[in-house]
Amino acid sequence: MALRRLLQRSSINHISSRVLPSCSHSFSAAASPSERIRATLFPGDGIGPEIAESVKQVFSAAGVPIEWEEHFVGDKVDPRTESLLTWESLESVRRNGVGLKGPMATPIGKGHRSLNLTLRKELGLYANVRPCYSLPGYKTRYDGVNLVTIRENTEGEYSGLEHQVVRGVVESLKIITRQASLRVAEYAFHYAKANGRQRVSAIHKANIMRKTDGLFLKCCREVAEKYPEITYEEVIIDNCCMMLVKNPTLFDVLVMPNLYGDIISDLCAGLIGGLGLTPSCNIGEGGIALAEAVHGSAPDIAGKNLANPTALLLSSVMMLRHLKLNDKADQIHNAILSTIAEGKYRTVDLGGSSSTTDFTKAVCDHL
Amino acid sequence: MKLADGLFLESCREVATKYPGIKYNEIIVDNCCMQLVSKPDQFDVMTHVPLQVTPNLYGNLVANTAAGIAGGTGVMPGGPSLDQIPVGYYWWITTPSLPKPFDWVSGNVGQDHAIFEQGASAGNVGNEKLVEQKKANPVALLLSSAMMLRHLQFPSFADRLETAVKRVIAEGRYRTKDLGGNSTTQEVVDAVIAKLD
Repeated sequence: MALRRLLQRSSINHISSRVLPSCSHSFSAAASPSERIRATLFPGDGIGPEIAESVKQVFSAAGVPIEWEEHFVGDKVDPRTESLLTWESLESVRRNGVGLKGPMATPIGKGHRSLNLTLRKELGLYANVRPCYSLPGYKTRYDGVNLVTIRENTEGEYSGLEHQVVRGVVESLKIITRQASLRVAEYAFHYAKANGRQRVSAIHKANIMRKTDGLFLKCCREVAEKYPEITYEEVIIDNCCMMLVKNPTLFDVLVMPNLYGDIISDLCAGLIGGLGLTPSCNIGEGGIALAEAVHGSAPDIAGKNLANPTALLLSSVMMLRHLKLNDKADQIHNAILSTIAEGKYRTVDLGGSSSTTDFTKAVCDHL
Repeated sequence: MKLADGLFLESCREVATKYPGIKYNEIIVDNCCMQLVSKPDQFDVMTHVPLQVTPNLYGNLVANTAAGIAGGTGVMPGGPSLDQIPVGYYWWITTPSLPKPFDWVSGNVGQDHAIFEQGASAGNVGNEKLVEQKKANPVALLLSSAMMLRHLQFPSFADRLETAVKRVIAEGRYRTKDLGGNSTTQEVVDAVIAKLD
């Protein structure tokens, strides 16, 4: 029953893409620098508002032509979305095509969907992109990391189709569809080409899960043929984990189904210093991009001006690149890297003693 | 995966209540991988062996990740569960002498049988060159056989074998290519025999 609903929904997307061909296959919205672009901002909870403020300050110091439309998570469930996020908030992202999201803590309770799930389903966010690179000046056990993980975010092992067969025996369905696999593979190769990356590795366990991961690989191969200038390889997931911790420089762009993507993207974040330093961007149908900081809302340091805004700042840079505002993106990116490399202004989580505002000011000064 | 992994956790909790002397905690797999790569020492216990129990796929991933951190498949004994054998378990043994923080052993245990083998074979299976040049690292299989001896209730033999292997590695004179040396398999084995007391 649920499976039929899942397949129906994906066929609806397919129909709409035929009706509006110009929107469906565009992966990014090119923006002319003269006009101001509207972007939705979800500051989020806990440290969210403080780090969102950092982003706003850096953007205005750099003269980025973005006009923020702020939306907050409500405290009442909106029946149109079955969530604490209102219909208006979601419409805002759909309209603007681009957004930035801080950490959101889904309150415990029934009667509403989780916030992340709501965003993902309503905006059709199908690919989660996480670039992981070693930050100069912040040393971890691994050097020279420079890779991007691209995770299929709608199906796979997280299709939500589980049932009890009898007591003590449970079945979980892993769904892989040609449509979703092609879609994420297309995005991976497009991203690789647009960002000057040389190699795309598809991560799988098709030797065991021949039909599901096999289909995923087949789709990746099809897309690979259209990009002969990009090297394509296939790496088994367990071997991939081992290689990542022995020599992460071996990897460039990784594309994978949902579960492996979940694990590998967190593993890669661990290689470079954790979720507090890792940017992330979710790509949706019609070229929607929702950049987000994937760390938690840290309620224990909320309001104390201690939070590290790096993850949200780097995510906002990803948002700028999606909008093809590459000059501004590079400018801000370099300012952030210089500030961290210099080491004079570091927040508490990186071993320093600077406040959020000090760090933000240092980044602005480095512009 | 609330039902499937939920059932796994429920089962673990039930068994945990029967061993109040052993600390039990649960960790989400993606967080586990992140912690493993950034702070592997938190999983390191100095004198005893902590146990990690995981469902099949996660176990495969975590074992390979940890083996990579430990130094690759050459030092990691043990392996994935085979079809006939329902349970695979992994032990961690600290070897301060190795350049990496910890070492791996593993065995596969079933109702009536147990098989002990080299773990995470990624990349080394069918490597003809290693066989020809006699440069394969025997450490993993030696430690697996020590595990087998323990299983057979021969702890003193197991201890003697493990101690000898550790001494050889600590000394550093006889190491195969994958550990940065250029000894042959036979040289390492002879060294282990020499260090047996």
